Amino acid sequence: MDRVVRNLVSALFFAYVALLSAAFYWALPAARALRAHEANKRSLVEERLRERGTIFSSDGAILARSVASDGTWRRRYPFGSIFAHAVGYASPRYGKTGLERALDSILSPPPGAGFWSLESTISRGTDVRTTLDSRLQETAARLLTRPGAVVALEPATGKIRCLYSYPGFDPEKIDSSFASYAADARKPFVDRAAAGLYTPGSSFKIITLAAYLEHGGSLEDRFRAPAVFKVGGFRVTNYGGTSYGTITVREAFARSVNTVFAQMGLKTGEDALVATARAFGIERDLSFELPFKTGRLPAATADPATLAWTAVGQADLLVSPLEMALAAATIANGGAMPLPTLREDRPVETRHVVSEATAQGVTQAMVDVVREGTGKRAALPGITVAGKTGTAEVPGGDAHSWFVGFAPADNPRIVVCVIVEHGGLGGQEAARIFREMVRQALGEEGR
Amino acid sequence: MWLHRLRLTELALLGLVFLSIACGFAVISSSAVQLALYAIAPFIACWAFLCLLAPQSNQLLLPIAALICGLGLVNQLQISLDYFSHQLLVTTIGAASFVMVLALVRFRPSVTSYKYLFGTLALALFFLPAVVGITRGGARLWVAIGPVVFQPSEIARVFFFVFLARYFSEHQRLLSKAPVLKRRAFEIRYLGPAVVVALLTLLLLVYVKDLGFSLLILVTFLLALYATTEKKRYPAGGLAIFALGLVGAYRLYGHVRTRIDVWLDPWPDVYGRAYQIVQGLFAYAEGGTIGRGLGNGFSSLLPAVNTDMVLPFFAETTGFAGVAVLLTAYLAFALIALSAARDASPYGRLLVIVAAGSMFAQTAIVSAGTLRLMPLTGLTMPFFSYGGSSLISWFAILALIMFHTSEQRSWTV
Repeated sequence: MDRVVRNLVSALFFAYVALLSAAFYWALPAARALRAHEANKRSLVEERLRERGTIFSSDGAILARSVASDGTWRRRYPFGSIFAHAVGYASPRYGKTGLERALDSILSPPPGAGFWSLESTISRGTDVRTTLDSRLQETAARLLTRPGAVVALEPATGKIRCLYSYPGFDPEKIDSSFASYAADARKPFVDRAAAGLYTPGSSFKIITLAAYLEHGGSLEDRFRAPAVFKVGGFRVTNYGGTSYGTITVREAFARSVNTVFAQMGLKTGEDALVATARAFGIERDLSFELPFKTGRLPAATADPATLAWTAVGQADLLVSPLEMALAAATIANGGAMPLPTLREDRPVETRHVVSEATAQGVTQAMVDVVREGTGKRAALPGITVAGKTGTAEVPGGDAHSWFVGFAPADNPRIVVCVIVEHGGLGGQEAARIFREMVRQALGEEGR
Repeated sequence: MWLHRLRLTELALLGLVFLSIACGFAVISSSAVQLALYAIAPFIACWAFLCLLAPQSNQLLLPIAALICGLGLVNQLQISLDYFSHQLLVTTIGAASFVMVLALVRFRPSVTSYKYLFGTLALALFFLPAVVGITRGGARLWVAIGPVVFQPSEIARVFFFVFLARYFSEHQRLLSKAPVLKRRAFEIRYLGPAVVVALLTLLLLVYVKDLGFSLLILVTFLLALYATTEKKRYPAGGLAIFALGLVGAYRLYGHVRTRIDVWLDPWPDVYGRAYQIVQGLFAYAEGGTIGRGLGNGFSSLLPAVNTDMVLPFFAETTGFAGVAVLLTAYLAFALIALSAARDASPYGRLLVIVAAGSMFAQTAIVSAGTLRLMPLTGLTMPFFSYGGSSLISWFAILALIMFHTSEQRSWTV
């Protein structure tokens, strides 16, 4: 039996060495890759042991804060789904989104933890004040009850006062309801405001008009405005098949006459129109805190028919509500586009887009829209409102309803862009939401 | 002479174990000395009864078991106070079973000669969960009687070891002297048990749904057969049959396929079927060389953190160093037991070989599973994992092993 025991001892040693080798392998050579693996939630759980900084709105309301429970910190979002996309969530299981992700290094600086360090490395993160206005955001949430988005910003500074997308989700319920949110056909996780791409429809005429004026056109130029305008074998038609005789550009903008804008687009030329749209920020990278999608302009080899349809905001054109709001902010800001931001402490930055004269011309035309054109519903007593409606024809349902504008027209303080998916005419639902947003934004500061 | 009966080496070593686990508790708890006293007390009781009932038995084995058990208690306290309290209670009951078994074999040695009774009991208990068992974590190893849930296989283990040691030591001559060529009948007849048990364990694999458990039973049996016959073809043949059967089971049974698939390549399904194995590897990686420190582990991230995944969790807090200490303790236990049973009766020696070998095999199988050396299995680490029936039965086996050992006189085996 001694020989057996000797062999057995050899086998035990062999197994012992194999086990220790494997333990060594996972603990040292393979450790770096394993620690960085996406399914490894240690850094996130560890974070729960530290207090994240609080996220405040610009008016001092708490949007997200850490609350201690059972020795760990839990993230609380007092506004529920209202700030879901802008503020995001910080979940140990599903990671972080929104400002929770973008400002993570401030809210929760990486710890200097170590086995040998005796002093506590647990420190509280830094608080952050965002540009978002809780009352404006709540107003948007109250008004927008169908899928869509509302963006409001200060034209002079680019500070975003409202960034609302519906449907949303409750950031406190991420850990329990993530799967059902992800499976929801209405896609509540999509931030429609910054990352939703839509056909702009007539709201794009702001950019077409700016390009036209920038390249030698005038608001008083006259065009024939038939019900149907034929170009390259395709037809551009007016809404409702109306013919307007011969009208000025100013009138055509106020009534959103497609056949005139098709001709203006052809006259401006493809290169100039696309270049202006790009200068307005469409399809261009922004240094924005949140994930966003850039719009899509037609390919450079577009034919006249595509150009004509692009000029009226249809064709393959896609823009995000944030981009559209920035286009309006550029006009409101005298032709200089403010870079958007969600941080109060970020320095103001602007980019030249069009001349001040052009911006003034577009502003006048936008004032007419609200005064006597398609956007009368956006009018407010005592305030000159500038705006533009958009009714974007989309396959499968009613048109998307747009309204984008600013107020007061002579000294713009707030830009608002509204889109209601399948909301019908832009002059109705979207204009109403726009008006209430402006009323809320300017209300207390006096008119 | 009476001084020798006091087993002072053992007592001194238990004192050292007390000091080391007190240090461990001190990192996590403010009442370290008290907790360490609770933890060492059952072993002091064992020591006292060893002085009375088996004063000549080896003095190193109990302190090593106490060290493993103490580290296990420290580990449970890292997870939760509830687990620790339960484990402490079970350790105390385990010490009682140690004393009872020791007294039984001391005063009624003939009890172990009812080998067929033990064999039948073991077999019945092994298959009991397959009939009336409940499934936990995919394995059907538990039986519930009222509020008490236990693993019959853990109790069966004690009977199984005694049966194997008795049966094979009594049939040693016949088994090992069976002619190879002239009388094939004998050859087949005595190869028979190996084949039968290999097939039985495959049956267990199918019904109990645990690869590690079936493999352990087979390895234990083949160990006894090999120790008796000294013929390597028995274990080789038995393992070959098991491997072939495994290939068949892989094709036929989903649960076997899952375990093997995620072992071969866990990465495509890290949130699903491979969650447990991958989380275990993360824990080893987090531990690194010396670990995050006791009490700093992420117990909530590891499934089955106090049973199957107890080693990765210990590794996370104490690192590779902790794993090395623990595995070395198991190796030392097996080597010392094998060495200290040299002068025992053929039955006693075989019992120690089977029990100590099986204990290390079980440790190796469950550790290898978490280290991705083989498919992950649901076994406990003897004396270390959280458990009721398991811990108690290992105390009983410790008594059986120690009873057949004697003082270390040299380090040859």
